Amino acid sequence: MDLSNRAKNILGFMIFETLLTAYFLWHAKRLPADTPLLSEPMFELILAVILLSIIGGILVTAIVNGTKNKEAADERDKNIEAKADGYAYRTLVWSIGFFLAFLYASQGAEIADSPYQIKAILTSFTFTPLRVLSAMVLILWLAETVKYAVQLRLYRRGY
Amino acid sequence: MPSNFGYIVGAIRMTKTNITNQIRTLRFFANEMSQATLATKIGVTRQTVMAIEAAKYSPSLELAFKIAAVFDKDLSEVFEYPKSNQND
Repeated sequence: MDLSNRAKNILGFMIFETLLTAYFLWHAKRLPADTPLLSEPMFELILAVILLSIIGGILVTAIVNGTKNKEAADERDKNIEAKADGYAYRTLVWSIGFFLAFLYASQGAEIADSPYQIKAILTSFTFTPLRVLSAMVLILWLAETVKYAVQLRLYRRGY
Repeated sequence: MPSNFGYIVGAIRMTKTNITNQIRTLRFFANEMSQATLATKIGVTRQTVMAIEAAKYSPSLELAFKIAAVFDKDLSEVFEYPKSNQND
């Protein structure tokens, strides 16, 4: 597949951020569910993610661009980014909305005369601060991935 | 109700602009100027010139004037909007 340098950058960062999110979620899952956010294991995990994101970002840029100077964005690049940002924003808002509704329902909100025992299903899952943080990270990853996917598609078709 | 899914489907649908152009022909008569040379002269990437030439991207008015200036032509000689669409 013939990709422009900008598309390669986007693809590189999409893969890298997916791996970084998987790293965070994998380690978060291994911690006890009731781990407080202000604790030593969480501090170590967040510090590791920050360091990995800095090192990984430099590596991806170096691998994709090599010794070439990064070309300046022209009006089409800016338009594509603005359009992709719009899709990412909608994804973020909808995802957070659904998550908050799920969170609210799971905390014991009454669902009157539900034939499917929705409340029982929802309340069987306990949201701890660590799980809420993990869900937020997942939502941010989803929004970023939508942004990158839309950008790649727009670059592929012209605009 | 427009869903997020609908927006995404809208983004991936193939569309072409209604504005046609003579850039390919003008490049040919300008000593077979390459897309890269034109891109450098108007300050955009070669991919953007390709997209404009294939009528997949409508340039801004400023960029359209820059392209016309490179070929020493009026804007209407480079870009054309079909009369049937002018009442839309």
